[in-house]
Amino acid sequence: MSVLLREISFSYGEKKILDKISLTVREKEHIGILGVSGCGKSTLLKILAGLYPVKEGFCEVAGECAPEGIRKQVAMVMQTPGLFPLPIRENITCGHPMAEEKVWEAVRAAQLEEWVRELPDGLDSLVGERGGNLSGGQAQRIAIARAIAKDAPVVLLDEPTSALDGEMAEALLRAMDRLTEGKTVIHVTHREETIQNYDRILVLKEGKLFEKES
Amino acid sequence: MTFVFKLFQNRKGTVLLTLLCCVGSVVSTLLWNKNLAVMIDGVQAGSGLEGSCVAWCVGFLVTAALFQGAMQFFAGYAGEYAVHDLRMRLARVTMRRDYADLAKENSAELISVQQNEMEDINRYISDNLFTLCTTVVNFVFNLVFLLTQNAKLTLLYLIPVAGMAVYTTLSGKVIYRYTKREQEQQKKMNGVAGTLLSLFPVVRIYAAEGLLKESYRSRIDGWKNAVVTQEKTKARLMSVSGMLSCIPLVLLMLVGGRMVFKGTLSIGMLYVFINLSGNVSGVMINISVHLANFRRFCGNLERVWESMETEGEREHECAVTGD
Repeated sequence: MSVLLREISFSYGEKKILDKISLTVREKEHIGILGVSGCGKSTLLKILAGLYPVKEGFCEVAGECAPEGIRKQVAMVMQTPGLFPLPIRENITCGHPMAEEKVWEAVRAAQLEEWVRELPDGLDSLVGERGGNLSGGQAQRIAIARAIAKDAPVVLLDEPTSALDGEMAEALLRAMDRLTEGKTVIHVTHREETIQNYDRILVLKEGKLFEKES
Repeated sequence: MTFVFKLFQNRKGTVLLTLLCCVGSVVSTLLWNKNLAVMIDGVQAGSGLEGSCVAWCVGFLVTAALFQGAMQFFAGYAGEYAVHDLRMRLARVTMRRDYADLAKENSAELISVQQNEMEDINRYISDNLFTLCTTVVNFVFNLVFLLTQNAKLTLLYLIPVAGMAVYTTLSGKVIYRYTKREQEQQKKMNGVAGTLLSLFPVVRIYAAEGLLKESYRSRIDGWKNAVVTQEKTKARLMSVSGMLSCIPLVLLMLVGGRMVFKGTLSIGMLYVFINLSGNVSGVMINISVHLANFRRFCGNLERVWESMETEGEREHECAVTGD
């Protein structure tokens, strides 16, 4: 078992967002969760990422139950790339010791190699504030390279293509194939076409999770 | 300057009144000084004080004080209303903006930056703008007055001041360069602190706290070094400037004293020259500081104004400029 949620509930003040949600995800299984904006998809993902504490119910991710432990087992790509105003290298390694070859592997897998090699400072090129020097696609691919470099068993995706246009989104999906290969994946989105090849598709509605009827 | 005019467009009457009161106050002060010279010369000649002369002096002093009071009132009124207009404009533009856009552009930070700039504008308008107007009016009227009283002495004591003005301008430029460097370092440091807050989830998932702490530490060091260099340079340049500032007075005493001995200048007029010299030489020496502050104010105002320009205004500007 890679992910296990049992009767998880979550509220923002009085408003209940998740209502006794249970979910079991097998190792290397790819799960897509559909839902409209504001239905609680991102909240669910943040619980799975160990960013929100579980107050009601039980959550286990890759054998870890404590938020600190869970965070070590997951890599996450969000709607916005969330880059640091530091060089590309630091954005990928996040300051952890990492072999040069491993960094390049992540860059290659995220389909950034050609672009990075053309930069005068290569991996040491500075990323502007909030990815200011880059296009949306490039910034998001650096975020993917970071997730690849972490090599965590569980990958969480929160609509990573939502801010990109068609062509850029296509390129990003190809880069994501490498990220998700051989991993347990939970991808939340409101666009079904991005998860149509997944093993299972679920729908989050009114705080409850349902299997999508085909 | 365009934006300063735009800012005070709706307060033209008050600004005009402020300037008129300023002129009134300066002219009354000059007349009081002129009469003071007559009084000193009278006492010096042993002819005593004339009652009418004393009465005129009192009259000019009271008039100057009244004009000064009125000027403070109108300046405060115009300044506060201008800042109020600006704040209301910012509030209106913020309210009109689309919620999605606000979320996308990290609006809280943008608005915070705008508010800081507004605070600078507010402070400048309240403390400096009308003081600068007074300084300029004072400078022009005092210079003309001194030239009409004794052109030779005025020019002799002001020529070295021109050299000092060049020194303060150049040193001001050096200080500005260091200040800019210091501000850039501070901006970088704040950038990391801002990142820590806005990218909190990413920092936690990728355990990047160490990276950001290290980056923050190195940027604090960078900022500290920039501040130390800036302060050291400033202290060195300003101390020389401070020493030089006594030159006009020394020259007035030397040249003016000689003129008094030769009988080409009265003792009363020398006293008035000493009394008013600061209004001219002080402005000349500090002209670069006044200009730098004013430019900074204009820059802040321009940025805030442009960020608050509505679509309608932009279209109007384009139509006017033909862009």
